[in-house]
Amino acid sequence: MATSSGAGGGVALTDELAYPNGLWTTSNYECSVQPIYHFDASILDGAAAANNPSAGTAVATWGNRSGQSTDYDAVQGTASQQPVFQDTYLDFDGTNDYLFVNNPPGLTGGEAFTLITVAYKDGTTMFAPVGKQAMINSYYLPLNYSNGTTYFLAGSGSVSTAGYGPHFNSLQQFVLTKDTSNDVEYFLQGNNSYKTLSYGYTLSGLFGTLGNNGYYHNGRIYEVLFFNSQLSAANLNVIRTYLNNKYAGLPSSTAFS
Amino acid sequence: MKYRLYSSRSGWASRNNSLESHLGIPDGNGTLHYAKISEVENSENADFGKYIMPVMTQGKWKCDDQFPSSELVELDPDWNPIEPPE
Repeated sequence: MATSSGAGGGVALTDELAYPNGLWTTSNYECSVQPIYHFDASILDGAAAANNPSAGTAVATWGNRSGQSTDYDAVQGTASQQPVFQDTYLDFDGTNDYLFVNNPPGLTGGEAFTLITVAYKDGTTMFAPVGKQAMINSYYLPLNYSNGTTYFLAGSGSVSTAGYGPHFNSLQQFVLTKDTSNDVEYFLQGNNSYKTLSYGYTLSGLFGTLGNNGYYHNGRIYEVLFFNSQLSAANLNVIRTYLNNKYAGLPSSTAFS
Repeated sequence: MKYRLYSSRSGWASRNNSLESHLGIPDGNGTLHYAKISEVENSENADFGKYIMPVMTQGKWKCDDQFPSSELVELDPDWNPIEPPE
């Protein structure tokens, strides 16, 4: 079985995520929907793992590998704010590192979406893999929720107490979905729902930064996928199993149904 | 990362320019600047009003050797304290 000598990033090429117009269109993990953006640290430029720099390189551009014609690359032109490439993830310092997504997707009203993230949070402070551009310190946090509860802070009511964690200092798989009725649901390690809410805001650039949601992410981001639709359970399971196969450190996950 | 504080905006900008020259920025690969200016905004902090220069201590943009070590300080979270999101 072929491995990462070509475009792939460390998993067998037949185990890469495939979708329409993507780097792969057939594989053992085929999603029927093309993401708006797909950032995969193991294919840093979004084209081929063979182009990856050496570990420890500061990252000015994380290339989108989704195959969309619009430029959704994530960029940081300021040297002192660039995250560091570490073969399978980007390391964000929690102080000032982050990337801007070009042409940042947002919400103009009523849209459904799906946001999937594999990340590792160092310590117990802010968890902020994806956030709004321009940045704001508010509750419009795609991977946090509002209403007075800061979910990803130590000491708050947390998923770790529900048996799906811990979610600090370990590799985690997050899914956030929203339907066209503004119903939002948060999941951890597959179909472990830990929060639902109604979210009807109109916000430009809501999915426009990596490593900052008004607060700086301290830790690793391995992979981020954003879709402008609510994925079916079948597609969610394709991606869930793709990620579990790719990242041996992920906890086991529960199938969506 | 270490930090160097400047009393004036012009002093900060001059140092940023010299660091960019030293590091070869812009580099033609997407890196356009060394740092962005920020200010100590906490009026109760002793460094209120000073301008903060991040100083990289490792990696491609390492430049702490361009400063006397006695001038460098650690990050003070009280410069611009953050509140948890509501």
